[in-house]
Amino acid sequence: MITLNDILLLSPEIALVIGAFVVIIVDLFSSKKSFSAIFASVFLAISAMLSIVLTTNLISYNDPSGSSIINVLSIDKYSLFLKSLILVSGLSISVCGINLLSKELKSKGEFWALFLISITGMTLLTSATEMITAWVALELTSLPVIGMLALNQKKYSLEVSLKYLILSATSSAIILMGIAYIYGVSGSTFFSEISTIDTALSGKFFFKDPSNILILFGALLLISGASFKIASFPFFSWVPDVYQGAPTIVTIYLSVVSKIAGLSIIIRILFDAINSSMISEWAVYLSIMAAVSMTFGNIMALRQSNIKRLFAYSTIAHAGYILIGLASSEPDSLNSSNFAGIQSSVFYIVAYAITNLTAFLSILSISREINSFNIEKYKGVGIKLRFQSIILSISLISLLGIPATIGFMGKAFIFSSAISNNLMWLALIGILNSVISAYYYIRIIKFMFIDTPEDQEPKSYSSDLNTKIITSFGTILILMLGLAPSMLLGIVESVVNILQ
Amino acid sequence: MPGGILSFLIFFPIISGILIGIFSENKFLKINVKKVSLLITGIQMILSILVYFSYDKALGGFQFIDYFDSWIPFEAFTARYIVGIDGLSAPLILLTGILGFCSVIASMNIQVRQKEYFMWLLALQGVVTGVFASLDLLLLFVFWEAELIPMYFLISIWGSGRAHYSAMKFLIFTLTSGALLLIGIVSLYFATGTFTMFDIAELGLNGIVNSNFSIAIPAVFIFFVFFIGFAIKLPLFPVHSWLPDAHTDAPTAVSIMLAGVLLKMGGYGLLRINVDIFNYIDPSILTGLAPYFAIIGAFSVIYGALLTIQQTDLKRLIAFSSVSHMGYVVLGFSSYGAFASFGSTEGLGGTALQLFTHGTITGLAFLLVGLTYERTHTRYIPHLGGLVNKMPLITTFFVIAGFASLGLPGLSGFVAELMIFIGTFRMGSLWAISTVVAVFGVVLAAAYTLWMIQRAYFGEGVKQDSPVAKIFDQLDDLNKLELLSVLILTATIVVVGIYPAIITDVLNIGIGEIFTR
Repeated sequence: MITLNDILLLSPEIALVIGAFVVIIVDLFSSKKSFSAIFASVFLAISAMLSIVLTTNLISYNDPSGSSIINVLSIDKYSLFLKSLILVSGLSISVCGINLLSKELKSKGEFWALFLISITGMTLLTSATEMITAWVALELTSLPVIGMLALNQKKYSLEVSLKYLILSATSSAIILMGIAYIYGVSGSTFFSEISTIDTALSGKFFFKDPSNILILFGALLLISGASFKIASFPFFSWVPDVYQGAPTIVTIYLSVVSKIAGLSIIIRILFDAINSSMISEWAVYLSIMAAVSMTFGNIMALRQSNIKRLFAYSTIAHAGYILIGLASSEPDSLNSSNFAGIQSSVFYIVAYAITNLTAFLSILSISREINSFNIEKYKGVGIKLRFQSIILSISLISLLGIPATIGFMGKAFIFSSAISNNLMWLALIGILNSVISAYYYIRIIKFMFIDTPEDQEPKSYSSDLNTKIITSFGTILILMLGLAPSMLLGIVESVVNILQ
Repeated sequence: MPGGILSFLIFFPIISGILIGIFSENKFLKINVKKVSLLITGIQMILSILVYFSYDKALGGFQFIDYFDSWIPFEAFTARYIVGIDGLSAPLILLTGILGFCSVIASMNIQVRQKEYFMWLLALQGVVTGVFASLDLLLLFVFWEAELIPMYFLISIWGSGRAHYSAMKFLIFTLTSGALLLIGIVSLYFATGTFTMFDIAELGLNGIVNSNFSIAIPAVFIFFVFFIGFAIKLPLFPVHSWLPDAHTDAPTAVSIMLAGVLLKMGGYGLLRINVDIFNYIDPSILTGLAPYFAIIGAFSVIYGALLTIQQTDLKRLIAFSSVSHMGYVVLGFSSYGAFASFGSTEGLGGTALQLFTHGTITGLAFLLVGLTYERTHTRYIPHLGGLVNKMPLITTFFVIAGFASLGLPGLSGFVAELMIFIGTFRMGSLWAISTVVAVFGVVLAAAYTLWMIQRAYFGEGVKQDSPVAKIFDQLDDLNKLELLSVLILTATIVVVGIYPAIITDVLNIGIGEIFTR
C-alpha cells in the first residue's frame, strides 16, 4: 500500500510530473515565447527544494537505511543526494534556457515537458532498488530525449535522433538480457534478494559453480548497457555525433544530468545487488572500460575544431576517470578507514557536474553571441565577452585538474584510491591522460585570451544575464571546494555509507 | 619575526596580483601598476632577507612554522596546511625574494596588457615561495602545479618568436613532471599514512620520517617516479628540450624567474625528497644508484656545454648553459654516500649552494641579455659587436656574470662547483672519472662564455649589413633603476664568492639535519 508518507517521499517526482502537464497546457494558451521555460524552471525549483528538504530531514533523523516504497524504490541519503544534484543541474539548464533556447527551437512547450519527464525518470533511477523498476526508469529517461533531439528543426536533427534511438534501444535490450541472466540464477529482481544469493555463491570456486559465472555475466551486460547513459566504453560511438547535432541545451543535459543518473544506477547495482565479494571479478572489467574511455576520449579530442564535439570526447574521458574510482573499490577498503574508491567516484561526479555545467553553459552563451561553435572563431572572445570567458577558463582549468579547483581535488582522490587499491597501472594511464587533455583545454583558453581576433567589427557583445549568474555560482563552488574540499567530502562520505 | 611571516610571503603577492586583476579598470592602477608592483616585490625582498637572517642557526630545524590542521581533515586522507623553513629552503626563499624584485625591474618596458602581466608575475612569485616553504607533500604539489598557469600566460602573451609553441611545450613537460610527482606523493601517503614531510615535534605531528615503510609498491619505483619528475623540471638530459624553447621565447623577467627560481624547484625536490625523505625510507636505493647519477650528471654537463657553444642567439646560449650547470646538481647529488663513508657532506652542500648561485648568476645574465635586446632589438650574435663602446656598464656586469658562470675564484660559482667536485671525487673510481669529465665542463664554460662576450660586446664593432648598425649611435647604457637590480645581483654574487659562509652556514645546518634528524 502506498501511504501518505510515501507520497511525501515521492513529492519531488510528483512535482515534476505535474510540471510537465502544466507546461504543455500553458503552452497552448500563451503566446509569449519563454513562458514554458519559466514554468519548467519553477517546477524544477520546487522539486529541487523538496528534494533538498527531504535530504536534510533524513540526515537530521540519522536514519541509515532510509525509507522504502513497496520495496522497489529506496529513498535514502544516497538517492536524495544524487537526486538533488540532478534537479539542481536540471534547474540551472532550464534557467539558462529561458533566454538562450529561443533561437534553436520552434515548439518549446513540448520540449520542456519532455525535459521534465526525462528528469523524472532520472530521479526515479537514483532510488530504484529493483531491476525492472530500474529498467523502466532508464527508458523513461531516454525516450523523451529522442523527442527533444528531433524537435530541433535543423538538418541533422532527424539523423541524430535516429542514431540515439537505435543505440538506446540496443543498450536497453542488453540491459534486459543482463536482468534475465541474474533473474535466472537468483529467481528475484530485488537487489536485496539478489545480494543474499551472491553471498551464498561467493565462496564457491569459479569454475565449479556455473551460476557464479552467470551472475557475473549478467552484471557485465548490465554495466555495458548502462555505459550508454554515462557515455563510456563500449557504448560511446553515438556521443560525438549526437552532442554536435543536438540543440546545445540537450547536449548539456546529456553530458551532465544523464551521466549522473547513469552512474547512480551503476553504483547501486554494483554495491547493492552484486555483492561486494565479487568486486575483484568485475573490477577488471571496469578498469578496462575506464582505460579505454579515457584514452580514446582524450586522443580523439586533440584534433577537434567544433567545441561541442570536443566536449563530447572530453566527457567520454571524464566517464573513464569516474570509472577508475569504481574499479578501485576493493571490499576491504570499503570496511576499513582506507580511502575508498566509491567515495572518490561520487566526489568526482559532483566535481564534474559543477565544472562541466559551468563550462558548457558559458560555451552556450558565448557561442550564441559569436554565432559559431568553431574553436577558431573563439579568437578574441576574451576581449568581447570578458566575464564569461574568464568563467569558462576557470572551469576548463578545473576540468584539466590544476590545483585550487575542485577538478584537481577530484582527480587527486580518484588516483589516490586507485593507488591504494594496487591499481598503479590504471592510475598511471589516468594521470598521463590528464596530461594529454591539457593540450585541448588550454588551446581553447589560448584562442580566447592570447590570439587576436581576425575581424575587428565594432559590434557590441553582451552575454546572457541568467547564464552569468548561474555560472558565477558554479565558479565560486569550483574555487571554494577546490581550496577546502572537506565540506563536500564529509557529505559524500556519509552518503556513500548507505551502500555498505 | 612575527608569526605567519611565511604565509604572508606566499599569499601577499598572490592576493595583490588577484586584486590588480579585479581592479584593472581603476585609474590609479592604470598609471601606477609598475610602481605598485615594485613596491610589493620590494617589501617581499626586504622581508625575505629579514627572514633569512633571522633564521636561528643555533636552534636549527624548522622555523617560522605556520600551521592549519583541518585543510583536508579526514582520517583516510589527511592533508595539512603547514609551511616552515630549514637550512635547505631558507636560501631559496631569499633567492626568490631577490629575483622577484629584479624581475619586476626587468619588466619596466612592458607595454601591452600591463595589469594582467603584473598580476601573473606577482602570483608566480607567491606560488614559487609556496613550493619552497611547504612541509606537506600535497600542499607542495598544489603550489608546484599552480605555477603553470601564470607561466603559460606570461610566455604565451608577452613572449616573442614561437611563444605559443614554447608555452605549450613548457606546459606539457611540467604537467608530466607534476603527474609523476602526484603518483609518488600518493604512493608515499599510502605507505606511511601521512603527507607531512617531517616530524615536527613542537606541534605533535608525525611525519614520514618516523613511519615504517610497508606497502606493495616497491620503494625503488617511488624513488624513480620522484627522480624523473624532478629531472624534467631541473632539467636533465634527455628531458631538457623544453628549456631552451621556453627561455628563448619568454620575456626577460620570466626568463629570470624561470632560470633563477623555477629550475631550482627541481633541485630542491631532489634534495628534499629523493635525499632527505628517502634517507629514512631506504638509504640503499640512493647508495646503489649513485654512480649512475654521477655518470648522467657528468654527461649532462658536457652535453649541455657542447650544445651551448654552437648557439648564435644570446638568450638561447644562456638557456643551454643552464642545462650544463644543472648537470652539476645531479653530480653533487650522487655524492650522497659521503656522510656514511667520511662523515662530511661537501657534495650535497655544494649542490644546494649551486642552486642558489646559479639562480643569481643566470638571473643576472638573463637580465643583461634582456637589457641589451631592448636596445639592439636583436639577440643574434653575428649582428652584434663592439657594444662596449656604447654600453660600458652592461658589458662590465656581463663580464662579471660570465666569470662567475665559468667558476672564477672569488665569485660565487667557483665555491659551489669546487664543493661539488671535492665531494664527488673521493667517492670512488666511477665518481672520480665522472668528476674529471665534468671538470672539462668548466673549460667549455670558459670557452662559450668568453667567446660570446668577445663576439657580442667587444670585437671590431657591428658589421655594415647588421640591423644594429643603423641604431648603433643611439644605444644607451643602464638607467638608475636597472643599475639597482644589476647591482643587487652582482653584490650577491661577489659577497657569496668572497664569504660563502653567509649561505653555507645555513645550508650546512639543513644538509647535516638530513643525516641526524
